Amino acid sequence: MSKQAGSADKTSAQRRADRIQAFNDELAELERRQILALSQKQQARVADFHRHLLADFRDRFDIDASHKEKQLSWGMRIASFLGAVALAASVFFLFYQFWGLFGTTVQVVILATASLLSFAGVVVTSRLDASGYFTKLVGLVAFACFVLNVAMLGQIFNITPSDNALVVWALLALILAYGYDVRLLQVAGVLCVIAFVAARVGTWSGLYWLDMGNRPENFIPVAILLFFVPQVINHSKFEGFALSYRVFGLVTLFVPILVLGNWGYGSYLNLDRNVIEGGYQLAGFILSALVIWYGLRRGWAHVVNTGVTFFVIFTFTKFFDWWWDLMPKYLFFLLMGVAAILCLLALKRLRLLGREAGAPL
Amino acid sequence: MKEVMKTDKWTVLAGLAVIVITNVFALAGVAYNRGGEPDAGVELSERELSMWHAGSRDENSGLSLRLACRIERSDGYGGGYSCTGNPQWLDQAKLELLGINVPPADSDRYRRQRGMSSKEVFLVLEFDGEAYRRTLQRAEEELRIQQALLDEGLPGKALKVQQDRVQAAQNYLRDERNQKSRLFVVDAGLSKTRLRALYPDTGRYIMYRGLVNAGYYEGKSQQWRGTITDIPISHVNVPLAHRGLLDEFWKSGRRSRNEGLPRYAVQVSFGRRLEPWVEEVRAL
Repeated sequence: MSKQAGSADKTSAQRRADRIQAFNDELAELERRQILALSQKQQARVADFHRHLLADFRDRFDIDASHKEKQLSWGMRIASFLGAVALAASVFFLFYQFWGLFGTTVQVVILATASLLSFAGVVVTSRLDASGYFTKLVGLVAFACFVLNVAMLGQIFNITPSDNALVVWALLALILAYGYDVRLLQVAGVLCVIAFVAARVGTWSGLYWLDMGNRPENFIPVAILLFFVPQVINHSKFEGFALSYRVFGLVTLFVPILVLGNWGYGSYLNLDRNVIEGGYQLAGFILSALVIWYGLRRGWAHVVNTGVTFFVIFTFTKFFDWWWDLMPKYLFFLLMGVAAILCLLALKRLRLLGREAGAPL
Repeated sequence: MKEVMKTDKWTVLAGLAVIVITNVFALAGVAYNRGGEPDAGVELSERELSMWHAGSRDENSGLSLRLACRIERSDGYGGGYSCTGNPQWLDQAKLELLGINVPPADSDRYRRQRGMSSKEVFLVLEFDGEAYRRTLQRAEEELRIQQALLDEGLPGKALKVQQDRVQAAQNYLRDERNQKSRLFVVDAGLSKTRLRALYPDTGRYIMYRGLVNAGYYEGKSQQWRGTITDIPISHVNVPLAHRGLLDEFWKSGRRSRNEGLPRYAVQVSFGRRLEPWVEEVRAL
């Protein structure tokens, strides 16, 4: 069964298992407080039903049926990620160690074959691995092999560096991500897309593509694009993908605003530096507040949290500008502490509002 | 199940297509670059192409040659190493011809210096030409001047100082004759066709991609000046077929200051996309 369709059921199955666990925990508490007690027959029927259901979910989707299994799964995810990074690094260093011993034709064949074989490895692994951890590992290695493939062709033939490499890397990363439900590769693909679009926006305004960071505004169009991708394309079958798009979109939007709020020289706008910096600082506050409001309205905790994080960063940056040179350091940090407490109170209020929202992702 | 298999099939096809098409395109680009008559073909020596390994030799078995070229400074000396620096010909007028519009000199400092970014242009690299001859003459002139001062006779400490200056001038001239690169960046433009028409000798002039920036100098002469900030291809990979001689030289270590003479020459061709490749390596 392909990972994509399996993952949709896996997501629902995992949610169901979590609800069963929560139900059992609450039922035990109610029985302990003698508020509710099921008859033995009812208990047996419910337990039997849940046991069969969870066994079926385990067999088909390898879900975590208990808190302990969840904790172990986190460990497996970390191990899978670290293993993938280590294997990818190993591929790079292996090639660098031996490539000079081969002629050009052999080098090209090795590079292309490594990409193709590792991709085939992902296909085969996905069919055998219900948990997805091994698929993720092999998927990352396949992506690393393809990155190496393109980079080394450039080095072997002295090809002029180009942002087109980012497009093909993004394409393969997203194909693997969506095909086999590997969120880490979705992130890799998104990062490549961010770099490519920012580079292109930069070249349209006359910059060299690698200088995209010299004009942080180059990142704003792609930030908006990313944030609204889940609105345009339904991601209900891909757990966490919509979250990644929104969070990366917001970070890609707010970081340039933060930079330009302190470095007006980097703006395309032909205005006084102080006007640019003041304008971006104000925009940062307004946009982060709007993002918090929007996240609460839609029930997107990750959007609210990102908005809050940047609102706090903008606030503390402003405090630093105003007060760092004006007062003794102990007083400055005391004021920071007071501001943090006020933030906590505000967030507590927001949390109350957030409870009332609660729309699904 | 049928829907699942169909989705999987499309994923496999899409992934294979990306890998295959990327490799085909890359190799087709290489074939295009190397097809037909090269844009330039020059025999450069170790002075212009020094051996280079990324990382330690044990970790990276590949070998490339680092392109060393210089710019002619306003004081007549050759400066820079990897084709970067402020050549005297890259003034405000030239910058504007390159499409780098600079703010008026009377505008405020902020406007003058706000975020100038690099622009990709075509550079003209001249091998063993007039720019090198002028630099060599400047070095010879400097030695003559210092020697003349020494010959006048100087007392005590001043004599020692002047002797050191003469020695330094001799070393500098020796380096210019034997060691330093004879490749100079002499011009820049936006059209390689027009540049090639201006510099038709393909055995002496190389068209190469480079990055140019602008900066405002508030020293003695307040003006906008250009800087060549980088060249995207600063290293030329050496295929296995041409490595034998170079590997021997690498093992024997760098050429010493006392010998100083280049040990090898490399025939390098530059193709239609101005990307270089090694044709031949020979010992000198």
